Amino acid sequence: MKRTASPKLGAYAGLAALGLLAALALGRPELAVLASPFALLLFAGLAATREPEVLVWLELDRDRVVEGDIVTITVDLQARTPVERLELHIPLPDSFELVEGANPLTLRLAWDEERTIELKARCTRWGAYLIGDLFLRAHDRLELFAYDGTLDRRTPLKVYPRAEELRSLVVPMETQVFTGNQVARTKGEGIEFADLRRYEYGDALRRINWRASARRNELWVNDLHPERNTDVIVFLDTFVEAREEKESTLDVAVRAAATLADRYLKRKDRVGLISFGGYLNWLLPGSGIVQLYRVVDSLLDTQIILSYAWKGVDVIPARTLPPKALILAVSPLLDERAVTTLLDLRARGFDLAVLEVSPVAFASAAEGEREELAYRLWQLKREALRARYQRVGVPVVEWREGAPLEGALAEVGAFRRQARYSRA
Amino acid sequence: MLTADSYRLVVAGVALAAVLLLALAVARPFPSLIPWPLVILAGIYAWNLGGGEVDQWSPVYAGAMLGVAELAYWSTELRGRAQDAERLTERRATLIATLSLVAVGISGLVLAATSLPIGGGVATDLLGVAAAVAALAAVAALARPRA
Repeated sequence: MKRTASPKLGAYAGLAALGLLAALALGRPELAVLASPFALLLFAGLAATREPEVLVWLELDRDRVVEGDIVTITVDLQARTPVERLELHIPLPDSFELVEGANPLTLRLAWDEERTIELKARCTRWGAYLIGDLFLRAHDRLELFAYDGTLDRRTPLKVYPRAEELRSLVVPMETQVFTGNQVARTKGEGIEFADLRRYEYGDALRRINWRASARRNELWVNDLHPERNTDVIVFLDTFVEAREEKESTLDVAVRAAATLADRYLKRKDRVGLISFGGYLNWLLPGSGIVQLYRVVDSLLDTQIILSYAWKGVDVIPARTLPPKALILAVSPLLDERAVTTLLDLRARGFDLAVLEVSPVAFASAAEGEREELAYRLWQLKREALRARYQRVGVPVVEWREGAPLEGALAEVGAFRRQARYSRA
Repeated sequence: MLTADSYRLVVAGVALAAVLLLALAVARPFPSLIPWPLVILAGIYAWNLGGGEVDQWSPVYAGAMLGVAELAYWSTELRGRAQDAERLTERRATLIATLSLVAVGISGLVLAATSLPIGGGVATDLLGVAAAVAALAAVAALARPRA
Protein backbone atom coordinates (compact mmCIF):
# COMPACT_ATOMS: atom_id res chain seq x y z
CA MET A 1 0.00 0.00 0.00
CA LYS A 2 1.19 3.48 -0.80
CA ARG A 3 1.85 5.66 2.21
CA THR A 4 0.97 9.35 2.07
CA ALA A 5 1.47 11.86 4.85
CA SER A 6 -1.54 13.81 6.02
CA PRO A 7 -1.35 17.62 5.84
CA LYS A 8 -1.15 17.83 9.60
CA LEU A 9 2.15 15.95 9.75
CA GLY A 10 4.05 18.80 8.12
CA ALA A 11 1.96 21.41 9.89
CA TYR A 12 2.62 19.96 13.35
CA ALA A 13 6.34 19.61 12.61
CA GLY A 14 6.43 23.24 11.52
CA LEU A 15 4.47 24.45 14.53
CA ALA A 16 6.69 22.49 16.90
CA ALA A 17 9.89 23.77 15.28
CA LEU A 18 8.66 27.35 15.18
CA GLY A 19 7.52 27.21 18.80
CA LEU A 20 10.79 25.74 20.08
CA LEU A 21 12.98 28.15 18.12
CA ALA A 22 10.81 31.13 19.13
CA ALA A 23 11.08 30.04 22.77
CA LEU A 24 14.87 30.03 22.42
CA ALA A 25 15.00 33.30 20.57
CA LEU A 26 12.61 35.20 22.84
CA GLY A 27 13.57 33.41 26.02
CA ARG A 28 9.94 32.59 26.81
CA PRO A 29 9.32 29.03 28.10
CA GLU A 30 5.57 29.38 27.36
CA LEU A 31 6.27 29.07 23.62
CA ALA A 32 8.12 25.80 24.21
CA VAL A 33 5.13 24.72 26.27
CA LEU A 34 2.81 25.55 23.36
CA ALA A 35 5.03 23.61 20.94
CA SER A 36 5.54 20.56 23.11
CA PRO A 37 2.13 18.82 22.53
CA PHE A 38 2.60 19.04 18.77
CA ALA A 39 6.12 17.65 18.99
CA LEU A 40 5.13 14.84 21.34
CA LEU A 41 2.10 13.89 19.24
CA LEU A 42 4.39 13.63 16.23
CA PHE A 43 6.87 11.43 18.11
CA ALA A 44 4.15 9.18 19.42
CA GLY A 45 2.37 8.92 16.08
CA LEU A 46 5.50 8.31 14.04
CA ALA A 47 6.92 5.75 16.42
CA ALA A 48 3.68 3.79 16.56
CA THR A 49 2.73 3.85 12.90
CA ARG A 50 3.09 0.71 10.82
CA GLU A 51 1.78 -0.37 7.48
CA PRO A 52 -1.58 -2.08 7.80
CA GLU A 53 -1.94 -5.59 6.46
CA VAL A 54 -5.44 -6.45 5.35
CA LEU A 55 -6.43 -9.47 3.29
CA VAL A 56 -9.50 -9.03 1.13
CA TRP A 57 -11.67 -11.45 -0.79
CA LEU A 58 -14.68 -10.59 -2.90
CA GLU A 59 -17.36 -12.80 -4.32
CA LEU A 60 -20.74 -12.47 -5.96
CA ASP A 61 -23.61 -14.76 -5.12
CA ARG A 62 -24.31 -15.31 -8.82
CA ASP A 63 -22.44 -14.81 -12.05
CA ARG A 64 -25.57 -14.43 -14.19
CA VAL A 65 -28.61 -12.34 -13.38
CA VAL A 66 -31.50 -10.83 -15.23
CA GLU A 67 -32.16 -7.08 -15.39
CA GLY A 68 -33.86 -5.94 -12.21
CA ASP A 69 -32.43 -8.76 -10.11
CA ILE A 70 -30.47 -8.08 -6.97
CA VAL A 71 -26.93 -9.35 -6.68
CA THR A 72 -25.16 -9.76 -3.36
CA ILE A 73 -21.52 -8.68 -3.19
CA THR A 74 -19.69 -10.21 -0.26
CA VAL A 75 -16.37 -8.77 0.87
CA ASP A 76 -14.36 -10.73 3.43
CA LEU A 77 -11.69 -8.83 5.31
CA GLN A 78 -8.98 -10.18 7.54
CA ALA A 79 -6.72 -7.78 9.40
CA ARG A 80 -3.20 -8.96 10.16
CA THR A 81 -2.56 -5.69 11.98
CA PRO A 82 -5.08 -3.46 13.70
CA VAL A 83 -6.50 -0.73 11.48
CA GLU A 84 -7.99 2.26 13.23
CA ARG A 85 -9.96 3.48 10.23
CA LEU A 86 -10.32 1.61 6.99
CA GLU A 87 -12.23 3.14 4.11
CA LEU A 88 -13.43 0.59 1.61
CA HIS A 89 -14.85 1.54 -1.76
CA ILE A 90 -16.12 -0.83 -4.42
CA PRO A 91 -16.79 1.14 -7.61
CA LEU A 92 -20.04 -0.11 -9.09
CA PRO A 93 -21.22 0.55 -12.65
CA ASP A 94 -23.69 3.40 -13.09
CA SER A 95 -26.43 0.94 -13.88
CA PHE A 96 -26.19 -0.64 -10.42
CA GLU A 97 -28.36 0.72 -7.63
CA LEU A 98 -27.25 -0.01 -4.11
CA VAL A 99 -30.25 -1.32 -2.18
CA GLU A 100 -28.55 -2.54 0.98
CA GLY A 101 -25.24 -1.71 2.64
CA ALA A 102 -23.00 1.32 2.35
CA ASN A 103 -20.44 2.07 -0.30
CA PRO A 104 -17.94 3.57 0.46
CA LEU A 105 -17.77 2.29 4.00
CA THR A 106 -15.56 3.12 6.96
CA LEU A 107 -14.77 0.51 9.55
CA ARG A 108 -12.30 -0.43 12.24
CA LEU A 109 -10.47 -3.72 12.41
CA ALA A 110 -8.80 -5.16 15.46
CA TRP A 111 -5.82 -7.50 15.47
CA ASP A 112 -6.53 -10.65 13.41
CA GLU A 113 -10.16 -9.67 13.13
CA GLU A 114 -12.19 -11.16 10.32
CA ARG A 115 -15.12 -9.28 8.94
CA THR A 116 -17.71 -9.94 6.27
CA ILE A 117 -19.48 -7.10 4.52
CA GLU A 118 -22.48 -7.61 2.31
CA LEU A 119 -23.71 -5.17 -0.29
CA LYS A 120 -26.86 -5.70 -2.30
CA ALA A 121 -27.21 -3.98 -5.63
CA ARG A 122 -29.94 -4.00 -8.22
CA CYS A 123 -28.79 -4.41 -11.82
CA THR A 124 -30.85 -2.03 -13.91
CA ARG A 125 -29.24 -2.48 -17.30
CA TRP A 126 -28.11 -5.50 -19.26
CA GLY A 127 -24.41 -5.89 -19.91
CA ALA A 128 -21.26 -7.80 -19.05
CA TYR A 129 -19.55 -6.30 -16.04
CA LEU A 130 -16.46 -6.86 -13.93
CA ILE A 131 -17.15 -6.12 -10.28
CA GLY A 132 -14.39 -5.95 -7.73
CA ASP A 133 -11.85 -3.20 -8.23
CA LEU A 134 -11.41 -2.43 -4.57
CA PHE A 135 -10.06 0.81 -3.21
CA LEU A 136 -8.73 0.71 0.34
CA ARG A 137 -7.52 3.56 2.47
CA ALA A 138 -6.25 2.87 5.96
CA HIS A 139 -5.42 5.51 8.55
CA ASP A 140 -3.25 5.22 11.61
CA ARG A 141 -4.50 5.99 15.08
CA LEU A 142 -3.37 9.62 15.11
CA GLU A 143 -4.28 10.19 11.44
CA LEU A 144 -0.74 11.15 10.47
CA PHE A 145 -0.52 8.80 7.51
CA ALA A 146 -2.92 7.29 5.01
CA TYR A 147 -2.19 4.01 3.25
CA ASP A 148 -3.85 3.70 -0.15
CA GLY A 149 -4.19 0.50 -2.05
CA THR A 150 -6.07 -0.91 -5.02
CA LEU A 151 -6.93 -4.56 -5.15
CA ASP A 152 -7.99 -6.37 -8.25
CA ARG A 153 -10.68 -8.80 -7.16
CA ARG A 154 -12.70 -8.49 -10.32
CA THR A 155 -15.39 -11.06 -10.83
CA PRO A 156 -17.42 -11.27 -14.04
CA LEU A 157 -21.14 -10.67 -13.84
CA LYS A 158 -23.49 -10.99 -16.76
CA VAL A 159 -26.76 -9.14 -16.58
CA TYR A 160 -29.14 -10.51 -19.15
CA PRO A 161 -31.89 -8.41 -20.65
CA ARG A 162 -35.29 -9.19 -19.20
CA ALA A 163 -37.34 -11.02 -21.81
CA GLU A 164 -40.89 -9.88 -22.42
CA GLU A 165 -43.75 -12.35 -22.48
CA LEU A 166 -44.96 -12.96 -26.04
CA ARG A 167 -47.89 -15.13 -26.99
CA SER A 168 -47.55 -14.75 -30.74
CA LEU A 169 -44.65 -14.13 -33.07
CA VAL A 170 -44.14 -13.05 -36.63
CA VAL A 171 -44.58 -16.16 -38.73
CA PRO A 172 -41.95 -16.60 -41.44
CA MET A 173 -43.20 -16.99 -45.01
CA GLU A 174 -41.18 -20.14 -45.60
CA THR A 175 -40.17 -23.03 -43.40
CA GLN A 176 -37.03 -25.13 -43.34
CA VAL A 177 -36.62 -28.90 -43.55
CA PHE A 178 -36.34 -29.80 -39.88
CA THR A 179 -39.20 -30.58 -37.52
CA GLY A 180 -40.53 -27.68 -35.58
CA ASN A 181 -43.71 -25.99 -34.45
CA GLN A 182 -44.52 -24.04 -37.60
CA VAL A 183 -47.10 -25.44 -39.99
CA ALA A 184 -45.45 -25.51 -43.41
CA ARG A 185 -47.16 -24.41 -46.59
CA THR A 186 -46.00 -27.56 -48.33
CA LYS A 187 -47.77 -30.90 -48.09
CA GLY A 188 -46.31 -33.94 -46.41
CA GLU A 189 -46.38 -35.84 -43.15
CA GLY A 190 -47.97 -33.78 -40.45
CA ILE A 191 -51.07 -33.14 -38.41
CA GLU A 192 -52.80 -30.17 -40.01
CA PHE A 193 -55.21 -31.00 -42.85
CA ALA A 194 -54.21 -29.49 -46.19
CA ASP A 195 -56.21 -31.05 -49.02
CA LEU A 196 -57.87 -34.17 -50.51
CA ARG A 197 -56.49 -36.09 -53.46
CA ARG A 198 -56.95 -39.43 -55.15
CA TYR A 199 -55.25 -42.40 -53.65
CA GLU A 200 -51.93 -43.27 -55.24
CA TYR A 201 -49.95 -46.41 -54.96
CA GLY A 202 -47.82 -46.27 -51.82
CA ASP A 203 -50.10 -44.00 -49.80
CA ALA A 204 -50.52 -45.08 -46.20
CA LEU A 205 -53.88 -46.61 -45.40
CA ARG A 206 -54.31 -44.40 -42.35
CA ARG A 207 -54.38 -41.36 -44.63
CA ILE A 208 -57.44 -42.57 -46.53
CA ASN A 209 -60.41 -40.29 -45.96
CA TRP A 210 -63.20 -42.89 -45.79
CA ARG A 211 -66.04 -40.42 -45.79
CA ALA A 212 -64.81 -38.72 -48.99
CA SER A 213 -64.00 -42.11 -50.55
CA ALA A 214 -67.56 -43.40 -49.83
CA ARG A 215 -69.08 -40.35 -51.49
CA ARG A 216 -66.94 -40.70 -54.65
CA ASN A 217 -66.75 -44.49 -54.87
CA GLU A 218 -62.99 -44.38 -55.09
CA LEU A 219 -60.20 -43.97 -52.61
CA TRP A 220 -59.27 -40.47 -51.55
CA VAL A 221 -56.58 -39.57 -49.11
CA ASN A 222 -55.88 -36.56 -46.90
CA ASP A 223 -52.95 -34.33 -47.67
CA LEU A 224 -51.36 -32.81 -44.58
CA HIS A 225 -49.17 -29.88 -43.77
CA PRO A 226 -45.95 -30.93 -42.02
CA GLU A 227 -44.68 -29.08 -38.93
CA ARG A 228 -41.34 -27.58 -39.68
CA ASN A 229 -38.93 -25.22 -38.08
CA THR A 230 -37.94 -21.83 -39.43
CA ASP A 231 -34.79 -19.79 -39.56
CA VAL A 232 -34.98 -16.38 -37.96
CA ILE A 233 -32.17 -13.88 -38.14
CA VAL A 234 -32.27 -11.03 -35.66
CA PHE A 235 -30.63 -8.07 -37.34
CA LEU A 236 -29.53 -5.51 -34.77
CA ASP A 237 -28.59 -2.07 -36.03
CA THR A 238 -25.71 -0.75 -33.91
CA PHE A 239 -24.48 2.13 -36.03
CA VAL A 240 -25.98 4.90 -33.91
CA GLU A 241 -28.31 5.29 -31.00
CA ALA A 242 -30.55 7.98 -29.59
CA ARG A 243 -29.90 8.42 -25.90
CA GLU A 244 -31.56 10.29 -23.10
CA GLU A 245 -29.91 10.07 -19.69
CA LYS A 246 -29.54 6.38 -18.85
CA GLU A 247 -31.77 4.87 -21.53
CA SER A 248 -31.08 4.59 -25.23
CA THR A 249 -32.54 3.01 -28.34
CA LEU A 250 -29.77 0.40 -28.18
CA ASP A 251 -30.80 -0.66 -24.66
CA VAL A 252 -34.37 -1.12 -25.82
CA ALA A 253 -33.31 -2.82 -29.05
CA VAL A 254 -31.16 -5.36 -27.21
CA ARG A 255 -34.06 -6.20 -24.90
CA ALA A 256 -36.32 -6.72 -27.91
CA ALA A 257 -33.69 -8.83 -29.69
CA ALA A 258 -33.19 -11.02 -26.62
CA THR A 259 -36.94 -11.48 -26.24
CA LEU A 260 -37.34 -12.46 -29.88
CA ALA A 261 -34.41 -14.90 -29.76
CA ASP A 262 -35.78 -16.47 -26.60
CA ARG A 263 -39.28 -16.94 -27.99
CA TYR A 264 -38.23 -18.28 -31.39
CA LEU A 265 -35.77 -20.72 -29.83
CA LYS A 266 -38.52 -22.01 -27.54
CA ARG A 267 -40.48 -22.76 -30.71
CA LYS A 268 -37.62 -24.98 -31.88
CA ASP A 269 -36.67 -22.52 -34.61
CA ARG A 270 -33.10 -21.76 -35.51
CA VAL A 271 -32.03 -18.26 -34.57
CA GLY A 272 -29.04 -16.31 -35.79
CA LEU A 273 -27.81 -12.84 -34.96
CA ILE A 274 -26.24 -10.08 -36.97
CA SER A 275 -25.06 -7.07 -35.06
CA PHE A 276 -24.52 -4.58 -37.85
CA GLY A 277 -22.72 -1.39 -36.95
CA GLY A 278 -19.27 0.08 -36.44
CA TYR A 279 -18.09 -3.47 -36.20
CA LEU A 280 -19.87 -6.48 -37.55
CA ASN A 281 -20.72 -9.32 -35.22
CA TRP A 282 -22.62 -12.37 -36.26
CA LEU A 283 -23.79 -15.71 -35.01
CA LEU A 284 -24.74 -18.54 -37.33
CA PRO A 285 -28.28 -19.85 -36.91
CA GLY A 286 -28.68 -22.56 -34.35
CA SER A 287 -31.26 -23.91 -31.98
CA GLY A 288 -31.60 -24.91 -28.37
CA ILE A 289 -30.72 -23.43 -25.01
CA VAL A 290 -27.02 -23.26 -25.87
CA GLN A 291 -27.82 -21.05 -28.84
CA LEU A 292 -29.93 -18.84 -26.57
CA TYR A 293 -26.94 -18.31 -24.28
CA ARG A 294 -24.73 -17.65 -27.31
CA VAL A 295 -27.15 -15.06 -28.65
CA VAL A 296 -27.61 -13.31 -25.32
CA ASP A 297 -23.90 -13.35 -24.54
CA SER A 298 -23.28 -11.85 -27.93
CA LEU A 299 -25.93 -9.21 -27.28
CA LEU A 300 -24.26 -8.27 -24.00
CA ASP A 301 -21.15 -7.25 -25.90
CA THR A 302 -23.15 -5.00 -28.17
CA GLN A 303 -22.11 -1.40 -28.17
CA ILE A 304 -22.10 1.56 -30.46
CA ILE A 305 -18.75 1.89 -32.21
CA LEU A 306 -18.44 5.11 -34.14
CA SER A 307 -17.41 4.49 -37.71
CA TYR A 308 -17.63 6.50 -40.89
CA ALA A 309 -16.77 3.56 -43.15
CA TRP A 310 -19.50 2.62 -45.56
CA LYS A 311 -20.83 -0.87 -44.98
CA GLY A 312 -23.33 -2.75 -47.01
CA VAL A 313 -24.88 -6.16 -47.34
CA ASP A 314 -21.72 -7.50 -49.01
CA VAL A 315 -19.80 -7.46 -45.69
CA ILE A 316 -22.26 -9.88 -44.09
CA PRO A 317 -21.04 -13.48 -44.37
CA ALA A 318 -23.32 -15.45 -46.67
CA ARG A 319 -23.79 -18.34 -44.25
CA THR A 320 -25.39 -16.06 -41.67
CA LEU A 321 -28.31 -15.47 -44.04
CA PRO A 322 -29.74 -18.87 -44.96
CA PRO A 323 -32.30 -19.02 -47.75
CA LYS A 324 -35.96 -18.68 -46.72
CA ALA A 325 -34.95 -17.12 -43.42
CA LEU A 326 -37.05 -14.44 -41.79
CA ILE A 327 -34.94 -11.39 -41.02
CA LEU A 328 -36.27 -9.40 -38.12
CA ALA A 329 -34.46 -6.08 -38.06
CA VAL A 330 -34.43 -4.11 -34.82
CA SER A 331 -33.27 -0.64 -35.70
CA PRO A 332 -33.85 3.02 -34.89
CA LEU A 333 -33.50 3.67 -38.66
CA LEU A 334 -31.16 6.55 -38.03
CA ASP A 335 -28.19 5.52 -40.11
CA GLU A 336 -28.29 5.44 -43.89
CA ARG A 337 -25.99 2.40 -44.02
CA ALA A 338 -28.40 0.26 -42.05
CA VAL A 339 -31.39 1.58 -43.99
CA THR A 340 -29.76 0.78 -47.35
CA THR A 341 -28.58 -2.65 -46.23
CA LEU A 342 -32.08 -3.64 -45.17
CA LEU A 343 -33.47 -2.53 -48.53
CA ASP A 344 -30.71 -4.54 -50.25
CA LEU A 345 -31.68 -7.62 -48.27
CA ARG A 346 -35.28 -7.20 -49.36
CA ALA A 347 -34.16 -6.74 -52.97
CA ARG A 348 -32.35 -10.08 -52.68
CA GLY A 349 -35.61 -11.77 -51.79
CA PHE A 350 -35.27 -12.15 -48.04
CA ASP A 351 -38.36 -12.18 -45.90
CA LEU A 352 -37.84 -8.98 -43.93
CA ALA A 353 -39.69 -7.14 -41.17
CA VAL A 354 -38.44 -4.04 -39.41
CA LEU A 355 -39.12 -3.29 -35.78
CA GLU A 356 -38.32 0.40 -35.52
CA VAL A 357 -37.13 1.31 -32.04
CA SER A 358 -38.43 4.81 -32.17
CA PRO A 359 -35.83 7.51 -31.53
CA VAL A 360 -38.68 10.05 -31.40
CA ALA A 361 -39.21 9.26 -27.73
CA PHE A 362 -35.60 10.26 -27.08
CA ALA A 363 -35.81 13.58 -28.91
CA SER A 364 -37.94 16.62 -28.37
CA ALA A 365 -38.27 19.86 -30.26
CA ALA A 366 -36.28 22.76 -28.92
CA GLU A 367 -38.11 25.99 -28.25
CA GLY A 368 -38.57 28.21 -31.24
CA GLU A 369 -40.51 28.23 -34.48
CA ARG A 370 -37.63 27.06 -36.65
CA GLU A 371 -36.69 24.30 -34.23
CA GLU A 372 -40.26 23.01 -34.16
CA LEU A 373 -40.37 23.13 -37.94
CA ALA A 374 -37.12 21.14 -38.11
CA TYR A 375 -38.54 18.60 -35.68
CA ARG A 376 -41.68 18.17 -37.78
CA LEU A 377 -39.62 17.84 -40.94
CA TRP A 378 -37.52 15.15 -39.29
CA GLN A 379 -40.64 13.24 -38.34
CA LEU A 380 -41.99 13.61 -41.88
CA LYS A 381 -38.73 12.24 -43.26
CA ARG A 382 -39.13 9.24 -40.99
CA GLU A 383 -42.68 8.74 -42.25
CA ALA A 384 -41.36 8.86 -45.81
CA LEU A 385 -38.71 6.28 -44.94
CA ARG A 386 -41.34 3.93 -43.54
CA ALA A 387 -43.43 4.39 -46.70
CA ARG A 388 -40.33 3.54 -48.76
CA TYR A 389 -40.01 0.22 -46.97
CA GLN A 390 -43.71 -0.52 -47.18
CA ARG A 391 -43.67 0.06 -50.96
CA VAL A 392 -41.28 -2.87 -51.32
CA GLY A 393 -43.41 -5.04 -49.03
CA VAL A 394 -41.46 -4.64 -45.83
CA PRO A 395 -43.52 -3.97 -42.73
CA VAL A 396 -42.04 -1.25 -40.52
CA VAL A 397 -43.58 -0.97 -37.09
CA GLU A 398 -42.71 1.81 -34.72
CA TRP A 399 -42.15 0.49 -31.22
CA ARG A 400 -41.45 2.51 -28.12
CA GLU A 401 -40.16 1.41 -24.77
CA GLY A 402 -43.04 0.78 -22.43
CA ALA A 403 -45.41 -0.37 -25.17
CA PRO A 404 -45.91 -4.14 -25.41
CA LEU A 405 -43.67 -5.78 -27.98
CA GLU A 406 -46.48 -8.17 -28.80
CA GLY A 407 -48.56 -5.28 -30.13
CA ALA A 408 -45.78 -4.31 -32.52
CA LEU A 409 -45.38 -7.90 -33.71
CA ALA A 410 -49.15 -8.19 -34.23
CA GLU A 411 -48.95 -5.10 -36.42
CA VAL A 412 -46.20 -6.75 -38.48
CA GLY A 413 -48.37 -9.84 -38.87
CA ALA A 414 -51.35 -7.74 -39.95
CA PHE A 415 -49.26 -5.92 -42.57
CA ARG A 416 -47.93 -9.20 -43.93
CA ARG A 417 -51.43 -10.67 -44.24
CA GLN A 418 -52.60 -7.52 -45.98
CA ALA A 419 -49.59 -7.57 -48.32
CA ARG A 420 -50.34 -11.18 -49.18
CA TYR A 421 -53.91 -10.30 -50.16
CA SER A 422 -52.63 -7.35 -52.18
CA ARG A 423 -50.25 -9.60 -54.08
CA ALA A 424 -53.08 -12.06 -54.74
CA MET B 1 2.51 55.15 20.79
CA LEU B 2 -0.51 52.90 21.09
CA THR B 3 -2.87 53.58 23.94
CA ALA B 4 -4.16 50.67 26.02
CA ASP B 5 -7.55 50.68 24.27
CA SER B 6 -6.19 50.87 20.76
CA TYR B 7 -3.65 48.17 21.63
CA ARG B 8 -6.48 45.88 22.74
CA LEU B 9 -8.38 46.69 19.56
CA VAL B 10 -5.40 45.81 17.36
CA VAL B 11 -4.86 42.54 19.25
CA ALA B 12 -8.57 41.69 19.07
CA GLY B 13 -8.60 42.55 15.36
CA VAL B 14 -5.64 40.31 14.60
CA ALA B 15 -7.13 37.51 16.70
CA LEU B 16 -10.44 37.88 14.88
CA ALA B 17 -8.61 37.74 11.56
CA ALA B 18 -6.89 34.53 12.69
CA VAL B 19 -10.22 33.00 13.69
CA LEU B 20 -11.76 34.01 10.34
CA LEU B 21 -8.79 32.51 8.53
CA LEU B 22 -9.29 29.28 10.45
CA ALA B 23 -12.99 29.31 9.61
CA LEU B 24 -12.13 29.82 5.95
CA ALA B 25 -9.60 26.97 6.04
CA VAL B 26 -12.19 24.66 7.54
CA ALA B 27 -15.06 25.79 5.33
CA ARG B 28 -13.26 25.56 1.98
CA PRO B 29 -11.69 23.07 3.05
CA PHE B 30 -8.04 24.20 2.78
CA PRO B 31 -5.90 22.11 5.18
CA SER B 32 -2.64 23.89 4.35
CA LEU B 33 -4.11 27.13 5.77
CA ILE B 34 -4.90 25.63 9.17
CA PRO B 35 -1.46 26.14 10.85
CA TRP B 36 -1.34 29.87 10.05
CA PRO B 37 -4.14 31.00 12.36
CA LEU B 38 -2.49 28.97 15.10
CA VAL B 39 0.82 30.71 14.42
CA ILE B 40 -0.92 34.10 14.56
CA LEU B 41 -2.70 33.23 17.81
CA ALA B 42 0.55 31.97 19.33
CA GLY B 43 2.23 35.19 18.16
CA ILE B 44 -0.44 37.31 19.86
CA TYR B 45 0.00 35.22 22.97
CA ALA B 46 3.78 35.74 22.90
CA TRP B 47 3.25 39.47 22.29
CA ASN B 48 0.91 39.66 25.28
CA LEU B 49 3.43 37.90 27.50
CA GLY B 50 5.91 40.70 27.00
CA GLY B 51 8.65 40.49 29.60
CA GLY B 52 6.43 39.50 32.51
CA GLU B 53 6.23 36.51 34.77
CA VAL B 54 5.94 32.96 33.45
CA ASP B 55 2.31 32.32 32.54
CA GLN B 56 1.00 29.38 34.57
CA TRP B 57 -1.94 28.94 32.19
CA SER B 58 0.23 28.18 29.18
CA PRO B 59 -0.28 24.36 29.45
CA VAL B 60 -4.03 24.94 29.15
CA TYR B 61 -3.48 27.10 26.07
CA ALA B 62 -1.21 24.41 24.63
CA GLY B 63 -3.89 21.75 25.13
CA ALA B 64 -6.52 24.05 23.64
CA MET B 65 -4.37 24.78 20.59
CA LEU B 66 -3.78 21.12 19.97
CA GLY B 67 -7.51 20.49 20.35
CA VAL B 68 -8.36 23.27 17.90
CA ALA B 69 -5.82 21.98 15.37
CA GLU B 70 -7.09 18.39 15.67
CA LEU B 71 -10.72 19.46 15.31
CA ALA B 72 -9.90 21.61 12.30
CA TYR B 73 -8.09 18.77 10.51
CA TRP B 74 -10.84 16.35 11.41
CA SER B 75 -13.36 18.74 9.96
CA THR B 76 -11.52 18.82 6.63
CA GLU B 77 -11.32 15.02 6.60
CA LEU B 78 -15.05 14.66 7.10
CA ARG B 79 -15.80 16.06 3.63
CA GLY B 80 -17.02 13.30 1.36
CA ARG B 81 -16.08 10.62 3.81
CA ALA B 82 -17.51 7.18 3.69
CA GLN B 83 -20.35 6.15 5.94
CA ASP B 84 -19.19 5.26 9.43
CA ALA B 85 -20.09 1.74 10.35
CA GLU B 86 -18.78 1.53 13.87
CA ARG B 87 -19.13 4.73 15.86
CA LEU B 88 -15.79 5.95 14.61
CA THR B 89 -16.94 9.54 15.06
CA GLU B 90 -17.41 9.04 18.77
CA ARG B 91 -14.03 7.31 19.02
CA ARG B 92 -12.30 10.17 17.23
CA ALA B 93 -14.01 12.81 19.39
CA THR B 94 -12.94 10.93 22.53
CA LEU B 95 -9.41 10.64 21.19
CA ILE B 96 -9.17 14.38 20.54
CA ALA B 97 -10.51 15.20 24.00
CA THR B 98 -8.02 12.78 25.55
CA LEU B 99 -5.15 14.19 23.49
CA SER B 100 -6.00 17.71 24.61
CA LEU B 101 -6.08 16.67 28.27
CA VAL B 102 -2.84 14.72 27.97
CA ALA B 103 -1.33 17.74 26.20
CA VAL B 104 -2.24 19.93 29.18
CA GLY B 105 -0.51 17.47 31.51
CA ILE B 106 2.62 17.10 29.39
CA SER B 107 2.83 20.85 28.83
CA GLY B 108 2.59 21.29 32.58
CA LEU B 109 5.57 18.98 32.99
CA VAL B 110 7.47 20.92 30.32
CA LEU B 111 6.63 24.16 32.11
CA ALA B 112 7.80 22.65 35.37
CA ALA B 113 11.02 21.49 33.67
CA THR B 114 11.73 25.02 32.40
CA SER B 115 11.69 26.32 35.97
CA LEU B 116 14.54 23.99 37.01
CA PRO B 117 17.66 26.02 37.83
CA ILE B 118 20.22 24.72 35.34
CA GLY B 119 21.98 27.97 34.80
CA GLY B 120 22.13 30.01 31.60
CA GLY B 121 24.44 31.35 29.00
CA VAL B 122 25.49 30.65 25.43
CA ALA B 123 26.25 27.00 26.14
CA THR B 124 22.71 26.37 27.39
CA ASP B 125 21.26 28.21 24.40
CA LEU B 126 23.37 26.14 22.02
CA LEU B 127 22.28 23.00 23.81
CA GLY B 128 18.65 24.10 23.37
CA VAL B 129 19.15 24.80 19.65
CA ALA B 130 20.85 21.42 19.23
CA ALA B 131 17.98 19.74 21.08
CA ALA B 132 15.40 21.47 18.85
CA VAL B 133 17.30 20.52 15.68
CA ALA B 134 17.70 16.96 16.95
CA ALA B 135 13.98 16.78 17.66
CA LEU B 136 13.16 17.93 14.13
CA ALA B 137 15.72 15.52 12.67
CA ALA B 138 14.11 12.69 14.63
CA VAL B 139 10.69 13.69 13.26
CA ALA B 140 12.07 13.81 9.72
CA ALA B 141 13.71 10.40 10.16
CA LEU B 142 10.50 8.84 11.42
CA ALA B 143 8.43 10.44 8.68
CA ARG B 144 10.59 9.25 5.77
CA PRO B 145 9.08 6.61 3.48
CA ARG B 146 9.86 3.08 4.59
CA ALA B 147 10.77 0.27 2.28
